Amino acid sequence: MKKLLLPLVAIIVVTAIGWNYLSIPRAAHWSEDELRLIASLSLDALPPLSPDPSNRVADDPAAAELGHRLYFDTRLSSNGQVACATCHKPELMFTDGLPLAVGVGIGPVHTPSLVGLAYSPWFYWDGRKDSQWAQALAPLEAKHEHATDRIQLLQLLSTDSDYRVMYEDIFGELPVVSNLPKTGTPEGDEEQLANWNTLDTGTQRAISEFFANLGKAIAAYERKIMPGPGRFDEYITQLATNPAETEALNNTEIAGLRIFIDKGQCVSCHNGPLLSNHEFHNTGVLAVSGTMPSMGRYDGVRTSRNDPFNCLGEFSDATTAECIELRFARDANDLVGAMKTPTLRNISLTAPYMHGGQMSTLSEVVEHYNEAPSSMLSHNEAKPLNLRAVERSQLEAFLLTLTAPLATEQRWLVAPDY
Amino acid sequence: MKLFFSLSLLFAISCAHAAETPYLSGTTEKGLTIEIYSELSPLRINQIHSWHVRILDGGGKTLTVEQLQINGGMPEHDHGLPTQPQITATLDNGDYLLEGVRFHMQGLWLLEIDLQHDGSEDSASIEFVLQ
Repeated sequence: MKKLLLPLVAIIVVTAIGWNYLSIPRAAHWSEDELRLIASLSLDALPPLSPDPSNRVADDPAAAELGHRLYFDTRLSSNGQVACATCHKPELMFTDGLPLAVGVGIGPVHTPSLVGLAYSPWFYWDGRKDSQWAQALAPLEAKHEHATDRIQLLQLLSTDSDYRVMYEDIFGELPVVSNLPKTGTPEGDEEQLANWNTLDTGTQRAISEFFANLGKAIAAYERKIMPGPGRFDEYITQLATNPAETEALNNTEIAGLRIFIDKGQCVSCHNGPLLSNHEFHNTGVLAVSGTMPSMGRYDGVRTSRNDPFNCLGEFSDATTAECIELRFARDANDLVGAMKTPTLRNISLTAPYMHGGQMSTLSEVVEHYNEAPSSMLSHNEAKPLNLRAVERSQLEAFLLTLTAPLATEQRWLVAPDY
Repeated sequence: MKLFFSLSLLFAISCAHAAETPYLSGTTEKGLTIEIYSELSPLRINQIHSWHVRILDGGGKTLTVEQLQINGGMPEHDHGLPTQPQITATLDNGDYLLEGVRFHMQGLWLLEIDLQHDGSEDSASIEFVLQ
């Protein structure tokens, strides 16, 4: 009996290793349903970007030029060192490579990519903003980001002749600054708030409208940041035109695609050409170290309803009927701890991952979804996947095929000449 | 506990004549027929749109109801709809306009329809698979 034990253990060990690490050869045959699903992920299936009715200059070239200048200008910060581009770096697909954003201070969350974001109805990890222009305003006044305020920004644009001309050509005359305090915002510290409260409501409104216009110009620029087709898109084209020769992806990557749409169920949320449904899910990601878990979309949707710069607010250009996402936004308990699904386009260049940058590699992310741990708040929507080690490697190999140069003119990816 | 009586379900994806052929239909606990017509046809994920909801009695006559509410979710994922659709108008033909419908995932969805007719509550559930 003892003689048999060693070979038996050896067979079990070898089988276990083989099961985990050896690929099961499968023909790269796709069913009609699978082909339809794969085609839906191609950038060719991305519809033209819809207008933003809340931003009348969203597609105005002059507004995009102004937004481009504002985006890269570090003077839009209290220390003169922070621009939008400080955290949303073009060379890193408009992320920063850091776990938590670093502006004037350290922020509470990871910097998300801006690529293709104009297609999203909601912004921030918790969806607390309902337009790209309203989103662009918040960092300007946030203490850990730009830490400036709307009165300081008005003074900058009033004194910079280039800015003044560009702004006034688009939006009309700037508010007069001669009798204004040097700082002030309703969202600021005690001094900023006290200064703000010295102003009459007409002046406050004029300044906030100017501030909203800055956001609208920045959004006009950000709408140009779009993903370009990569090897995965090429593979989809080959599948449609010449299925016998689909060399754009190798067998490992194709096996990874199969896991992506089938056993891994990644496509449930990472769907459509941007590989994101732009919605909110609780997937059991741990809170940022040293912090309480975030309520996520549960709080975000409530914040968006009270945002003076939302679609229904006085600074929006939309009619009530056009604010359909905000009017019908859901706020139920199952949104506790839910965070926005990020795009997987260019995912190899946007590490670290998750809303707090909690995971530094794609392997960690795949492992997380394979295990589907319990959520700190509410419940994890994802279920354990039971992927073998080789399948996890294949899935990761597929994710690496989603990186490609942006479909954005090069001049928008660098700072303009000031 | 409220009982949901799911008698029938029907889904006709890619219906080319949304005005004539319901995208979904079902029968309530008390035998009323519910027909749903989508303004977005074929139905697809990640696009907000409106539905027209028609309530019919056993003889096929369009009914007016006192209350109508539609909710839904994905039982396999333990979450609801991404939006909170609401009835915002009654159309000339008696249909109800349901605004704010959006689906964010492919797969099995369950709609729960609650209504009040002639002073009594009624309900139906309709399952369908969004491709």
